[in-house]
This record gives sequence, C-alpha cells and structure tokens, in this order.
Amino acid sequence: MSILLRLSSRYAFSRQNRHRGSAIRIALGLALGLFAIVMVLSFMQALQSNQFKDIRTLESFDLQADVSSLSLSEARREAAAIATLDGIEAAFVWADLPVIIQGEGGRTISARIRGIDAPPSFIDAVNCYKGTIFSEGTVASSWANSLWIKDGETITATFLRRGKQATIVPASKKVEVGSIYYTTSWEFDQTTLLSTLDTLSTITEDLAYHIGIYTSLDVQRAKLIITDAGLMGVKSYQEVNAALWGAMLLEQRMMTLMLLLMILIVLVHAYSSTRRLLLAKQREVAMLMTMGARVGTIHAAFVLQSAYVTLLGLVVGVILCWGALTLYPHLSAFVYRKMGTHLVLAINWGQVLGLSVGILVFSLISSLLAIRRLLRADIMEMFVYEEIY
Amino acid sequence: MKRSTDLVYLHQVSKSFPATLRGGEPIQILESVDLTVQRSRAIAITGNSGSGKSTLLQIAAGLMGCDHGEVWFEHEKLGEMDNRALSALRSRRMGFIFQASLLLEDFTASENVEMAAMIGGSSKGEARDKAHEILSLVGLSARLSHRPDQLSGGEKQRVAIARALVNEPAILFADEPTGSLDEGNAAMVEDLLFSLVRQKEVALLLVTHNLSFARRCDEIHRISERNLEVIG
Repeated sequence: MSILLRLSSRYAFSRQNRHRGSAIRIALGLALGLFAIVMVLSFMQALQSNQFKDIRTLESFDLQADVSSLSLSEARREAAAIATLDGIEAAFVWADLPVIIQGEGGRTISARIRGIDAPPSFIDAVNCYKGTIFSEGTVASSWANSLWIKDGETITATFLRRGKQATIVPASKKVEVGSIYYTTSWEFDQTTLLSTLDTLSTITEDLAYHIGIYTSLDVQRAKLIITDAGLMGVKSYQEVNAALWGAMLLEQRMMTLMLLLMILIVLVHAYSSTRRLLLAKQREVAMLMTMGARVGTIHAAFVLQSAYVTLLGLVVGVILCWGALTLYPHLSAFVYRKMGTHLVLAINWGQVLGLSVGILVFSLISSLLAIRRLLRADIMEMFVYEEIY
Repeated sequence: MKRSTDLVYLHQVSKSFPATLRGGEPIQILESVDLTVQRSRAIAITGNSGSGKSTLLQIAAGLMGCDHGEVWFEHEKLGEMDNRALSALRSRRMGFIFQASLLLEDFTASENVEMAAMIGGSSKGEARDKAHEILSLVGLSARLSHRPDQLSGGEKQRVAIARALVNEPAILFADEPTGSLDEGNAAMVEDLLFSLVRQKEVALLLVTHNLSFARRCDEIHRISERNLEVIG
C-alpha cells in the first residue's frame, strides 16, 4: 500500500514530479471544461425558467379565456366561477387597450394599457418605484419608460374605438400617470401601462375582456377542468405564445446538442491527457517492472494518479462555479440591461455531482485502458521506444 | 543438461526480429544458443555491436521471450511463469543495471533504492535503513536526497548498482554498465561492481564490448554468427 501511495502521489502533483506542470494544466483544463458546461447549463435553465415565469405571471398567465362577447360584470361572474374550480389559484378579468402615448415632452410611444382585476400573484410581481399602483383614475407607467413619461404627468392616449358611421375611429383621452412600476421583464415594462379595469373603462368602454387564470396544476390538465366546467376558448400560455414556445424548444434542443459537444470535448481531453500522463512515465513503468513491481500495483498507481489529477480539476471546477454564482448578483444589472430580463442564476448541484462523477469514472477507465495497453508491450520495448502507441 | 547448481540455464535458445515494422523476412539474431550461469560466478558476454549480446541478456533475465528453446532460472522455466511469479523473481532474486542508469527520475537517490527494497518486501523503515547502508557502501551517503538530474553519470550508475543489490539478489544482469561513462568513472564503477559482487557472492551476467572489463569475469563468451563461443 505504501508503494502504491508513494508512486501515485509522486506522479500526480509532487514537487519532485518532472511532469507536475502537465498534471496541473490537465487539471485546469478539466476545471474549465466543467465550469463551462455548468455555466451554459445554468444560463440555459435560467433563461428558460425566467422567460416563461415572466410570461406566465405577467404577460399571458398560465391560461386565458377570450370572453370578449361578455360585459365586464358578466366576465367577472365567469371569473369568480372559474376561481372555485379545483387547482385554480386565481381567475380574474383583464383587457388590453392598444394605444399611442404622447407625453408632455411630445415624445410618443406605441404601447398598451392593461386594465386588470389584479390578483395577489400579479401584484407581487409588479414592484412599485413611485406612487401607488392601481389607484383609481390613474395609470402606472414603467421605470423603463421613465425618461419620457414622468410620475404625475398627464399623457395623451390615442386609441381606436368603434365609430357610429365608420367601423373604427381614432380617439384620444388624457390620463394622469399616478405611479411608476417595474417588473423583471424589460420587454413587458417598455410596452405596458397598468391600471384597474374600472379606470380603463373610463378611457373607453369598447374593450375585449379576457379571463386570466393562475393554476397550481399542469396547464393542460387545468385547461381540461375549465373546459369541462363549460368555458370554451381557453388557451394555455404555450398556445398563446406558440412561436416563442416553439423557438424555446428549438433553442433547448440546440443547447442540449452544444452541451453534449462540450461534454464530448471534456471527455476527449480527459482521455488524451490521461494517456499523455501515462506515456510521460513509460520508462518509469518499465523500470518498476524490472524492479519487480506487480502489474496490479502499477495499474493501481497510475489509476490513482489519474484520480488525483481529475479530482483536483473537478474540485477547482466546482470552486469556479461557486465563485461565479457568488459574483453573479453583482453582474445581474448588466445582464438585465443587455438582455432585458432578470436571469436568476442557479446551479443544480445534483447535476454538477453527476457530471463530476461521470468525468471521474471516465478518466479512471481511460487510465486503466491506457495502462493495460502499455503493459501489453515487452519491458524492453517500453525502454527503447519514445511512445509505445 | 541442466544441473541443480545452475542458476540460469539457456538451452537451444533462438531469437529473430522482423526486418521492418511491417514484417518482412525476419532477421535471426540468436540460433540454438546454450548458456549456463552458476551461483556466484561472473560471466561476460562480448561481441560486436548488433551481435545480440543485449538480446541474450534480456532473454536470460526474462525481460524478453525467445522464439525457440528454454530458459530456466533455478528450478523454474521462465516461459511458464505467470506475471506475478516473474515479478516476485525480479524483485528478490534478480538485479538489473543498464547502460543508461534508468533511475526513477522523480525520486531521490535514496528513494530509488528504498522503492526497490519495498518492492522486494521490506517495510518502509527497513527499506530506508537498507538504502542508506548500501548507498554509503557505494560512496553516496552525501547524495541521499539528490535527484538523478542532480547526480553525475558515475553517481547515477552507482545508485543503479545500489538499487540492483539492495535486495541481495542471486544474480546481477548488467548491460554495458560503463558504456556511457568516461574512463575514470568507468574504472570506478567496474571496481565497485566487482568488489560488491564478490563481497555479496552474487552471480553476474555482464554484457560489454570492453575486453579488459570482461577479463575480470570468471568466464568470457563471445557472440559471433548468432552463436556463443567460450573465449576465456
């Protein structure tokens, strides 16, 4: 045992080891490989979960039903009925009014005013920067538009309504901005002003109402329950955002492919570096054989050496991941500005463990195969040739 | 005929190598060679470069197989021994010295010898004591913690001799042990080798092209035309 430990530790990172630099570089290569894989995986998962979290909370909700044929009071009664169904957390009425907003400074933006009987989940996702959001008679503009729409300012909303002679005619209404809000979705913030439904109704009564639904169930199951209860025209957030959902699925497949390629690169690195470490010691192996070292001892020593190098690489890789996780909050504002979404980076340590164990096992098997192959040669061949294979 | 007093016995040994890496007509190196090494005897094998001296030594030591013939070590045929038995034999009954000293480059002089002793079955403490004792015997007690790249050619070869003898083997296989040394160092290594071999009563199979070195052995054999002949 002492021969084994002495050989393996000396051939790994000992100061006396002539190939210590190579061992350290190999370990660093593995560390960076692991780090890259974990970071890509984390960003991928964060991007998907954040994107759809925003969509499900703010944009189109878990499910929505078109009730444009109903009046506001009828829509509210329908929503109250849906809210009583199993697995439904909230059901509420909302309507979007597409508008062109002109601020007092004269700048115009194309946006929408969303009137909503906001349930607690929605309110929780909307942060108040200034004033009181959902106060009657005013609208809330976003921090994203705060350069040209200020709190307390009166804006002019131009929209289309049904005409008496023409089908639709443009109309304008002045509205006071009573508050400034922000959410985790820059895109939502840039295009949306918020108000209560009653306030929106004072701007125009010509609104197409929808019922938004939050559910704790799988959306398809919840959709079935609602449809069974008699409400037709219910759509899941995936159906409402079919193009985005499809793009996300495609992106997920591409990222999976990239990840597999990255894992392949790391495994090839592990294999070739294990082999390189072994070939660097080919003459020592031959010398040990002439000294009478058993084949099993030589196997074990070089597999253990490979384990030391791989383990160091994996530990450094995990430390790099942890460091990135710790530093990320300081960079999240930059990411928000660049990407328009708050990515909450999370590392799935179970995945990291699984990946690490996989790389370690692969390295050990590579090492074992390489040493077995080397030991098939005659001792004198190992002495004479630079590299046996 | 093999006698019970024979330590190494080669009978009708032949060996050939392929002409090229891709095969081709094999080149015959040894043909029906017989050789006996008795206990505590020193045998020298000489011959021209490429005549097959080193090949013969490697076959006698079990480092290389032969195409035909038998190689015996004491009462066992090397060709019939498994890896474990061969390892045990090399660690306890055989010692090796090569032209290039071939030390373990990542270990100090003392550790090189200790490693051989530990492989031979000594505990860590015993190995250290044995290593220090034999290294002082070869005049290297001041060089115990030096690595091979910090030693001269002669010193490396002395470490190799110490390592080969630390387990008190029955035979020492030496392949041109002074081939890469200057005259002064070569003479010193020769003297040391013979004094230790005589002192410890170890048999020696020495391959050399240096006839004056060979003459210090009990027998001299010469390889010529794939065969071995006794010349002294």
